[in-house]
Amino acid sequence: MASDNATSDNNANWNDWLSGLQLAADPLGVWRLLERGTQALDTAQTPAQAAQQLAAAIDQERAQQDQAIGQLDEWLKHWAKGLRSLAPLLPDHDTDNLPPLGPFPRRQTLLQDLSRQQAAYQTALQAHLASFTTLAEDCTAAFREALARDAGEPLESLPVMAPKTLMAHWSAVAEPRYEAWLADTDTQARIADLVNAWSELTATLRALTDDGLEALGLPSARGLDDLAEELQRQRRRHRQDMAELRRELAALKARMDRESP
Amino acid sequence: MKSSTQRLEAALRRAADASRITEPVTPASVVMETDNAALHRFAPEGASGGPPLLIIYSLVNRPAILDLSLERSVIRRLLAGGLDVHLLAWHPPGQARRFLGLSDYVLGDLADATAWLDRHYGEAPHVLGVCQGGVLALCQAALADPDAGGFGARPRSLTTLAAPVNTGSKDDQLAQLARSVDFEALIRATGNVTGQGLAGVLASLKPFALGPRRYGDLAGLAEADDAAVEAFMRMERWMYDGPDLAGQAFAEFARGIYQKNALIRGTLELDGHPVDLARVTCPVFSAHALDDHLVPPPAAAGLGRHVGGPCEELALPGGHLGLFVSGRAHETLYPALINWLRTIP
Repeated sequence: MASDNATSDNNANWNDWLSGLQLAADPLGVWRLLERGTQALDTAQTPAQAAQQLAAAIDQERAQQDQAIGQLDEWLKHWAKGLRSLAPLLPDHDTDNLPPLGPFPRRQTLLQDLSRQQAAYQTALQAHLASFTTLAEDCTAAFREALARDAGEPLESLPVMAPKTLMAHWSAVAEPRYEAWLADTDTQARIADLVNAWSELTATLRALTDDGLEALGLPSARGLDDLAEELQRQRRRHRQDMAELRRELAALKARMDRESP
Repeated sequence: MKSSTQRLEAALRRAADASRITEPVTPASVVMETDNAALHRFAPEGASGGPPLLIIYSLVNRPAILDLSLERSVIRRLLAGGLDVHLLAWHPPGQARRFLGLSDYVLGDLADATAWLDRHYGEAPHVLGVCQGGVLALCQAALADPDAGGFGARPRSLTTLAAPVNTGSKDDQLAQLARSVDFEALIRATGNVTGQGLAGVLASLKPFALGPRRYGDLAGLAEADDAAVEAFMRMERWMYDGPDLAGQAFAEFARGIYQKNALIRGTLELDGHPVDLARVTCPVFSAHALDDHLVPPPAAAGLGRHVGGPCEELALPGGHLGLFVSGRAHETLYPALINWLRTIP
């Protein structure tokens, strides 16, 4: 995730901006929450403390996610500003509510797309996080109940428990709930919405970046893609020609075998 | 008596040492290259050179899982069964190969490798497809039929291990998650799909088993023998060091197999050639695991109803990886497979 101090013009940097969009390492945010949860259980002394620290860990993770969502808007503005200074042909104002006018309609459309897709991505991410947070909170409540029920005493009066035992209780409670949540069609639809929104936004960012690079006469991802696609087309044609040649040779050989005395 | 912290530190030190061991368990040499893969032949000392067998591994992850340790090596098990074992090891595609499609792998690499083995040994190879590799192997076997295009040699027999051929079940979690994803848009954004990202998604299906439970007993490795520590780290590397996937092939597979269930519906085409499973007329052996969360039983079972040749099916208790590394698989599945292969004329 982006560092906490990446909010001002002065210290924002490319890594921070881009890390706000990096889904690859933990696409659903599951591992970060699991890591925080494990740390919470590892440092807890009593079951009550464990439940409290788990709830705090969930809150912290959610707060960090919310902060990252809030920063995304700022990162993208920085990014567009940077692009405009590199490639002044880009419009220097937001064009959300304007039709594409003038000599650069494609870029204006891309900027409009960017604005719309950013909102869609934030909405999808918020919906996913809200659902994931609800799940985590349900798990914490069930964890408290299970500990108290198993011991037959109020949670607050339970004695010190080994982290390993606490983790076993937590897994027993949270794992089936997590798997049921993941198998729910609404969850699956939310995850698909998130992935699709991310894909659209990232593709537009790539296209705008390519425009900037090409305006400076530099190689762009789009240009490299063109080369890769052409290479693959040539390889495929070569493969098809070779296969056809082999078939003809085999047919010829079969005919010669038949005709030889 | 060491404290738990001391034990954990000792375990981590041993695991770090073991992680530096990169030599394969079973030696192999490259005998030919296709456009996107190298054909390895496993030839440890004393190998007799029986009938050729070609392993087609999945494009996801690396085939190291088949040769994880001396005791749990599928490769060694097959060699000991008298087979001349070959493996088509995929080259990870760079960005320049992001437009590689399924047809390039099946009609190119698989066809070339089977044809080479056929020419080299004077007999068609047995083919063994692992997971996604099973789907690719089925496609090649169907299209090897001269009337379907004649791509490569028709296999002498075809074995699939946990191959996701029928993704229509509601219990197929990957298929359900994939159902509404726009994979074309995804690869437009990503180019290739990173192995790390895909490993993250797959691990997110079972985060407790692969997180707290797997690492919770790490301190126990402090007292384990070297082989166990090495096997743990080999498994760790296998899980999270998967190669990137060519974007186009990834999207084609996700759309064709997971969204359209096209192999079973008979609507899959490669380079315009329809893939008809009924054209797989060689003997088929299909094994799956009963508790597999990646390729659930309905996805792999029932292949015999679709292929044109005789089909033997075997279901084993356990999960996906158990099919390759569990004691049960090595005691029952591989001996059964080897005995079955011996019956193939």
